[in-house]
Amino acid sequence: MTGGPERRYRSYRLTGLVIHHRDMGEADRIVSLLTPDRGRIDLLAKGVRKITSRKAGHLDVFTYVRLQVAKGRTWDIITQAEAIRTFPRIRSSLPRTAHAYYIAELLYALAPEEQEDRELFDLALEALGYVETATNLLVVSRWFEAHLLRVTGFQPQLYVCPLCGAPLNVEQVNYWVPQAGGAVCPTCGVAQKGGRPLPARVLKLMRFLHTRPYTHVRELPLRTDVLLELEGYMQAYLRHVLERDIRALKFLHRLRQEFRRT
Amino acid sequence: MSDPIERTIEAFSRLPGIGPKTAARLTYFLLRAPNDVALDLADALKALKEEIHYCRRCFNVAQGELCSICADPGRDQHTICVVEEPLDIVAIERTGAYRGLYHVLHGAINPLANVGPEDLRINELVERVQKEEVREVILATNPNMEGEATAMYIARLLEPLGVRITRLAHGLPIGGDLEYADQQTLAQALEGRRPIS
Ligand SMILES: [Zn+2]
Ligand SMILES: [Zn+2]
Repeated sequence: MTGGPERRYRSYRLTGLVIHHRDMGEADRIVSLLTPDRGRIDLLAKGVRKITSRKAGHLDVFTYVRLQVAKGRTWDIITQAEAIRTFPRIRSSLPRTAHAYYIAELLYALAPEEQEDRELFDLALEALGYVETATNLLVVSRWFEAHLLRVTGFQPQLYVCPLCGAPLNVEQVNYWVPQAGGAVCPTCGVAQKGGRPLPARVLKLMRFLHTRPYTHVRELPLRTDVLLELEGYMQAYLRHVLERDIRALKFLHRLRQEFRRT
Repeated sequence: MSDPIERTIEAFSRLPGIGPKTAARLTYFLLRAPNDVALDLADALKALKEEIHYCRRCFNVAQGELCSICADPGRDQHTICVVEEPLDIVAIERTGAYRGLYHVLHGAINPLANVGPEDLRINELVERVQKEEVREVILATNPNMEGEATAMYIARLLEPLGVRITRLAHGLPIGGDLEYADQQTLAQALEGRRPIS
């Protein structure tokens, strides 16, 4: 083994939020973390599926962890893990678990890889904190997706028609056209394929959610039917951004169908 | 593909943990070894796929219609232990602490991997609880987020059926796979199982 300037980089410390994992080989796992310094990164956790592994409990999804990582050839390897924060109420409630999966899936899909993004990390941790405690989880998910899109640069157009440049009149019915970039004016909207009418109540709620901190949003007596209506519009928009369906949403819909409230 | 050597190497390379080099080494080993080494392996593999399938009652691996556990009248017919994989049954059986029946889900709910309740043997479990004289269902899914979500989901489905629903005690370290648990820990977790609400 030769010394050299690279030697001190063989191992490093890292904090992050576990947002995804997948099994590899016999007992290993690839763990995906959202970190403040390096965006999303994937690391190898060896032997963690063995129940005797002391690292395992700290590497479950939705755990905020501090890690010691060794540089490897294909994967960097987690050598030590210690939980900074866990979310026991998410773990013990099915609706909370489902909403946390929704948040994790969107983070995994939209977080930049190997690129510093402190704002995104703070948003993620804040949102999981609300999933842990909120009474209305629909509000948390709608608030989170709005701010996620803003922070990652996918913010939908809500004020000016992206097709003709006319300011949108929030008191009338506009159109929702994800492939055009969001809300478009009625004149442009009727001519667009795949567009759907966007009621004033939904556009107003979108503008509100996109610009307010959660502490303001949760004070409002928001109606469940309008939140679900909004979910439909955001689902169409996210499907356009992600170019696929959101799997966690399928699970949420299933729970709603099976058990009513979620 | 007609060259038997290439065919064998290619077949070995499809197995988990076996790269092209190992596949070639195994192939040439079998080529040099006495005939019965290769033929025993071929027979065993053929029997594995032709004779073993899933038990129609509990979805454990089985040789006949029913697995050896379902076919054993000495087992307690009123308790079902729900596990993710057939290997978990092996782990629980090793403890000798359980005498009831099983139900294998073949996975756990994991929205991130696109595995939903409809992909698991959950409807079949509900049917069993409705039809058989089940008094207790023990949810022995893995002690990680996916296992917990699966247990909570099943508990909610079974709740209206008026059956006792329990979950393995928390002695098990969080995050791992049940199949790797040691006998004593697993026996204690079974012993200390608690009603789930
Ligand atoms: Zn326009
Ligand atoms: Zn069986």
